Amino acid sequence: MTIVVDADLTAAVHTTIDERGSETMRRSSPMKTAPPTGSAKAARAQRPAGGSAASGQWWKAWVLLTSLGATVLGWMAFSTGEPPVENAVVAPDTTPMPTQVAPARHVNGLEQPRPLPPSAGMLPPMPQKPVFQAPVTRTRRS
Amino acid sequence: MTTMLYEHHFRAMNTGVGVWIWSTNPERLLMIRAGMRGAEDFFTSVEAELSRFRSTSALSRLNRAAGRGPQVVSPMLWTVLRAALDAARESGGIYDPTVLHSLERAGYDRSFEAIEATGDTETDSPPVRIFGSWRRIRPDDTAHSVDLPGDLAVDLGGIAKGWTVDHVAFALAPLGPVLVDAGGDLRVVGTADGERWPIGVQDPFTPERDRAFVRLGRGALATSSIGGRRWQRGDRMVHHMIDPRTGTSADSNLHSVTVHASHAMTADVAAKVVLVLGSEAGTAYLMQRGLSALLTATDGHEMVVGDFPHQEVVPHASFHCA
Repeated sequence: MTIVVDADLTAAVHTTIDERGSETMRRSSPMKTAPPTGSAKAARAQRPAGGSAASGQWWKAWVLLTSLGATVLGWMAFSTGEPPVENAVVAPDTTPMPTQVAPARHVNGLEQPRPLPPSAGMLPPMPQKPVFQAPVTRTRRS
Repeated sequence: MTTMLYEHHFRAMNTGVGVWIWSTNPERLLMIRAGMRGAEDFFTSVEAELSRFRSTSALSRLNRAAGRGPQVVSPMLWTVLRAALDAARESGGIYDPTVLHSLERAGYDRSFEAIEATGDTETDSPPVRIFGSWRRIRPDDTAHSVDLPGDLAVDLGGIAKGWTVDHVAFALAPLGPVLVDAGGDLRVVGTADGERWPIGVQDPFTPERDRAFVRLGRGALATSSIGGRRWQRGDRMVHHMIDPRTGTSADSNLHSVTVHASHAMTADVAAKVVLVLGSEAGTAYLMQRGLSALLTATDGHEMVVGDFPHQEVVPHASFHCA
């Protein structure tokens, strides 16, 4: 089962590389221009080590992530009153659901969700059927 | 109610990265999708900022400015470098972010993919003993500047990866239970319908198979091994786990260490430290900090330290409680 997971991961990685690679190259192309001239070198020497475009990118990504988190928290608190998933009261589902994880599909570089077996009963401490049929990922030596 | 496991995979920091979010609410799809793209952008940004293989990174600029006095660094570099210095202090210097020159002298002067593609470039330079060198880095908490001595260079590879994993997992947690995995440094927040995330534990000697798996409900795992990034250096094999006390590849009795900790960054550092220290001192290090781990010796002997959350073991493996 683990080999299947590993194979899925590898395939997904390759697909994503192909689809995202061009975007990454477009974004980073200004950093791959010709070496700076003498005046540019002088200007760079006075620039602090961290004053780069990458720094700005980091803050943008971080602001995106944190604002997303805040948005979701607010949405959960005020719109539906639904508690976080970890504490959710799960309604019984009488519809039979597949117990095998379906293969994921790619849409715009992001995989479609996998249908998983539903929980059985109210507030189950452990589901009657396991949510996961195989390891999701694996440790790797580094 | 339909439950969904959303996943997104990409490549960053010279490794494969996976993000999984478990959700019972399909209306969150757009938010989850945006969150996953944000996670990928964040990984990309951290790599651009902290990779020693990027000449334009803030870390590379700081290393080039070594010996030129205090340099104001970016907030990210400041944060991770301070975390690295704290880890060096906490580990008694066994973890040391100033290993870069030693790594380069050992032949790890390019990404490992490049080394594998082009082979090693042998030099006769002697090893650099760096034990305690981290103390010579002088950070200024007020100016957020760093004074790096001219003979030192910093590598933040592993700790930066753990730091990124922790931040992405934390940021995505409001969307649902989340698992973030960057090349084996992984972090879990929340359980899927009460079920912990099953994670295979790679066999260090036969990497294509797993020897066990853990069910992780919280916290992080990280693995360090001498079996992955190793290369021929003259008549001997060397690897990327540098012992600061000798300036050369660590020569302990351990082949692989997988640590369970509250944070990926903590687990990453602890795995490195234990691998360098060896099983006896490494076990003491883990026990003193309340960490658990799975150790594999170079002779194949395996040890479990503390309450390592392994749940099933494949038949060929054997376990012994330390």
